[in-house]
Amino acid sequence: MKIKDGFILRDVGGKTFVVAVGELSKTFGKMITLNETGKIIWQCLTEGKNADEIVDKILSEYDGAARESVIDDVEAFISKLRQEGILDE
Amino acid sequence: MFKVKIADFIIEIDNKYDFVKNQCREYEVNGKKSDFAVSCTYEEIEAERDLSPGNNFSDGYLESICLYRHICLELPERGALVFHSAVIEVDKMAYAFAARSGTGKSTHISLWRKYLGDRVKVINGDKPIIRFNGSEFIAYGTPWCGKEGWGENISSPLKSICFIERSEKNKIEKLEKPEAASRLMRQILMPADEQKAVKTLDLADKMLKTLDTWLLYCNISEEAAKIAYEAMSGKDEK
Repeated sequence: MKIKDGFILRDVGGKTFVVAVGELSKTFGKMITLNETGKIIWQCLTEGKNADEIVDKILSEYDGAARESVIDDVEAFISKLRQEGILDE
Repeated sequence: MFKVKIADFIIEIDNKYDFVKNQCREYEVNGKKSDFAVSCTYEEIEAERDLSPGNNFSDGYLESICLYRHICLELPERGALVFHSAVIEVDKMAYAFAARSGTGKSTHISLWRKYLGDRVKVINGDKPIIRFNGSEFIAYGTPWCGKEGWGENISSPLKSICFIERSEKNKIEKLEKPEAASRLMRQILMPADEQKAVKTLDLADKMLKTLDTWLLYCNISEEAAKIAYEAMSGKDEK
C-alpha cells in the first residue's frame, strides 16, 4: 500500500496541497487539501508505512490522543484514498 | 517569427498566423538575444479548438491562446507566473482582483475608475504576469488581456490580492492565508511537469507570504470601490 507516483505535496500559505503531475495529471484533475493529520498519513504512505506504523506515528506526535479514534481516522483516510484511486495496493 | 518583451523577459515567438503578431504590437522588440522561445504545432491548435466547441474561433486566435499557455509554462522556473485576475494600478501600487468567472471583476474595476478617475490604470484585465524580483512581486501588463482588451504595457509593485464575492452589502475583510491559498490555487495554471509544478506552488506560497490578502463582498455601487480602496491602500480619503 503506497501513494501512486506522480503526486506532489506542498504547503502553500500554511495549507497543505497535493497535486498530480506528469501522466497522472491527465487523469487526476482534482486538487487535494490535507489537514495536519492527513499530511502525516500521506507522508507515511509515501514512505511505504503500514496502517499500524501510521497510527504509532500520529500517537507520537499528538500527546493524549486516544488510540481507538486514531485507528478510526487512519482507516477512514486510507479508504478515502482507495476510493479516489490514489493508492497502489 | 518576432520578439517581444513581456514582464522583462525577451521572448521569441515563432508564429504561423499574423493574429498574434498584431496582438503583440506594443510589446515587440528588436535584437538577437531572447530568454526563451515559444511555438505551437497545428495539432495543438486543433486541440485548442476542441476545448471551445461551437465558438468558431479563427486559427490565429487559437494559436495565440496556445502560445500564451506555452509562455505561462516557461515562467515558474524564472520566478514568475500568470495569475488569472484583473490588476489595476493606483498611485504606483498594483492591486489584483480575482473571482470565479461571471462574478464581476470587470464591473468592480469600472467602479474604481468611476471613484478614482484617471488615477486608475488597468495593467491587465484578465491574465497579468506576476514576477518576483527578489524582494517584491511586480505585476506586468501583457498582450493577453481578456475579452474587454483592458491592459497596458506597464508594471507596478503588487501590494495585495483581493478575492471578490457578490453580495447585497459592501464589506471587506482580511483573508486568512490558508483560505486565500485555496482561492489563489484556482486562479493559477498548474503545470504537468513536476519541477514546474513545484516552482509554481513555491511561488504561490511566496505570494501569500508577501502580499496582503483580502475578501471583498460587494455590490455594484461606487461605495464598493471606496471601501475596497480605503482598506487595501491603507488610506482613508476623508
